Amino acid sequence: MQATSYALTLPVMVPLMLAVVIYAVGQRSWQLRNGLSVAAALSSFLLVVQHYRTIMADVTLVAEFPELLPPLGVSFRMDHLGFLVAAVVSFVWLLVTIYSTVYMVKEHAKNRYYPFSVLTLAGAMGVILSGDLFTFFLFFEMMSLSAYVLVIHEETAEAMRAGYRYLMLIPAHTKRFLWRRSCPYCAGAN
Amino acid sequence: MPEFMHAPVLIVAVLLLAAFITPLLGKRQAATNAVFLGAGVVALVLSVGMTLRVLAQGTLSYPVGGWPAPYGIVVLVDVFAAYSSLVLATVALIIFWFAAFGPREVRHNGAYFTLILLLTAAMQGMVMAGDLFNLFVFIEISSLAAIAIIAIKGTKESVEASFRYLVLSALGSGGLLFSIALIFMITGHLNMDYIRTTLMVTAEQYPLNLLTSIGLMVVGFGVKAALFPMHVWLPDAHSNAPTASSALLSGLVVKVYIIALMRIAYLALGLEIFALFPIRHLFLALSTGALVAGSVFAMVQDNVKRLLAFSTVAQVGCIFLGFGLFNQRAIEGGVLHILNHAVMKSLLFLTAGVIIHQSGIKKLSQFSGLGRKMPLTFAAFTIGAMSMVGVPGTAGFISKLYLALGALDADMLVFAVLILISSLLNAAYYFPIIISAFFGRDSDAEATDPAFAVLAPVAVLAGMVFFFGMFPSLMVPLVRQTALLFVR
Amino acid sequence: MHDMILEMLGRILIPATQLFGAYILFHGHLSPGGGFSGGTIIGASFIFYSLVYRFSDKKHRLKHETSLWFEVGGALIYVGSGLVGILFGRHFLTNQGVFPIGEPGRLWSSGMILLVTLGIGAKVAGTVFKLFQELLEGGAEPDGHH
Repeated sequence: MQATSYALTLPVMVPLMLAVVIYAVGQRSWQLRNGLSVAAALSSFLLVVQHYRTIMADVTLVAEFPELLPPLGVSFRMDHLGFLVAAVVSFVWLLVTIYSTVYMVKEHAKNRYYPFSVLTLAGAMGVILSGDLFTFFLFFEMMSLSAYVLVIHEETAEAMRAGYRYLMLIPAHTKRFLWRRSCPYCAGAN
Repeated sequence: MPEFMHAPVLIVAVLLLAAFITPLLGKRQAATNAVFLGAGVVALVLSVGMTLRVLAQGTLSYPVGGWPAPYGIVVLVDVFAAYSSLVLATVALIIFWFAAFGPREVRHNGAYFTLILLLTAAMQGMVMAGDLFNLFVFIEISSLAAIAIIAIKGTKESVEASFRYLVLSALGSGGLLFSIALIFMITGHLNMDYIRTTLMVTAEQYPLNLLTSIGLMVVGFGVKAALFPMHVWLPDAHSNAPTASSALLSGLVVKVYIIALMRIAYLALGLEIFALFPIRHLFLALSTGALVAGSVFAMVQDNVKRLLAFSTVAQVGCIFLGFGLFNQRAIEGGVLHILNHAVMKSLLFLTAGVIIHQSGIKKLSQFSGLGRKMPLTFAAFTIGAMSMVGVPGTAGFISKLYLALGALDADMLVFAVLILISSLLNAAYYFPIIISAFFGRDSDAEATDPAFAVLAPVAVLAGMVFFFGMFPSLMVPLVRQTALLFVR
Repeated sequence: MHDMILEMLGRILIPATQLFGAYILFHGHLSPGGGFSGGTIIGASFIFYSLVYRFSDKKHRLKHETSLWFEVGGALIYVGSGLVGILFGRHFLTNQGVFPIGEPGRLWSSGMILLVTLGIGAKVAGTVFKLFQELLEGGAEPDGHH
């Protein structure tokens, strides 16, 4: 059974919005910044878990936005597997964020780390909850690009080299997804 | 409904009027700016009204002086012309804004603004022209004004670059004039509609004349639009011009000639021409060359403005690719790319100008660490670069997606691969700039973000990159109907 | 330097040239000629004037603003007479029905054409003289700063 629920976009949109807020408040107060980062991961987790009863009732949730980014459109979808993975990922992210508030104390550039960590979470949630390969591709690209900043956090020569290699692989990888998405599209169109 | 009936001529007339008034104001800076920006705003309002009217009521044909078609000059505004005029008016207004309040690079703003306004008026006239002679007059005005806004910087390099542009552009104009003369010889008309109906009868009797004419036309417009092997003037010209000129030239001027060529193709020559002559194959071959060569040349540049100029060569190839593939999606992609590339390349050129002005650094090898000193400027540059690479959520992604889907629709997988390769090449020369600027070692250069008034137009363009990346549906009705003009 | 021969020649030739130019200009719609040729002749008279008087007398010197006003005024007349058509609810540059046409063959006829010819004449005269000024001053800045 399928049901439309636009609340499905919230686990993605809330961290996305909060990332901007975290970057803005990070300049002023580190307490607020760290607190908001944890709150972003927590809210993402809660927003996933709230669908527990619906999913257990064998209902697949979908949210479709065909008008966004025509001609392909954007859609979200949550079934048993999606629910499980989304819940686990956001929960682990919550733990990691709590851990990093302590671990990162001695690190530099924390104002960069937290917003991009939350942005990566938004991308990851988007990848998990995506309803079609095109949406998957969109969020995969977002996740990969923001993860680049986390990869090179050390800014040592070694990290930069690894980061550059990683960055050059992103377009190659993601375009392959687009490719796979397009072939059936092409076959269907003719 | 008589609203905006006069918009096609009023847009050109208002810009021309402002062009004539600005030199009179002399040193009164505030008044000059007011006239300059006022003309841009009025043109934009008229263009929006005209577009809405065209969408509601179909093609608007305006007989100048009240003389009917075969005798008088007709201004013909179909969806393609309305879309082009809207793009021109919007992007030009933002560049006007930057020219008025950005860093001063030209001694006489009065004369500079006159030239910019003349150029914009000519471009507006060109996309709406309904007969070939009128079109040619506007082409000449825009070519001369474009050359002048490069040379006005007054440095040795800019004068040399503009002279080279002048020679090649004059060659192109000569070709166009000859081609128009040949068409007039075959048909006896200059009005595009009448040429098309006459050609249906006479084309078979004069195949050689028609072939020569089309060849000259493609070469003439190709030189002016910097289609791949004819692009040699572009890198010097666009990189040595003042910042606002570079943005205007790279963002709008090269594309106007593509629009004019395609308008002639479907209005005057008729779409049968694509079946009779291998124009599409020519476009496909040349745009492949442009996409690869432009990107490869861009990679080895050390001057930021030259890199952007070579990137324009590649992106012009992208637009031609859309018309070469010639199906609904591909043409939609090419037409969308006219807007998207105008927005993102103006953004990149304006930020590059700001960076050069604030830090005095032109060389990419010295950009290391600059991003931390001027974060807002480099954030804008990053947005533009991401759009050039085609990161989802930005405008560049949408047009590349449409082009790739168009290539698949045309069963030409190789061009979909080509687009992916070009995106990868773009990433290979844009991302290192950003990485070294934000994460590189600190250099000695002193630089700060400029005042808000300078950055405001840049911020608007950056916003537009995201806006057209997220909500392309705003332009879709216009773009779809434009594509339908070609593939009926 | 004061050259008697040049000045006497100028006194005769300049008014004669200008009268001839005006004749060509005003008969543009009746006989060969019109804005471009008439304007060039009038512009040539300006050049002659400045050649005769420029070196002797600062007072008689024609200023850059003068040629600028000629140029801009001419262009404004053209665009302005085009806009009159729209004001009267017709098309841009409409002549018939907006301007009094008069009797064909007479000087005051053809409505807007005479007006437009005058605009072109002013513009061309200004441009010809402006080019001369620019060449004379060897690329100096237009507002006189060297």
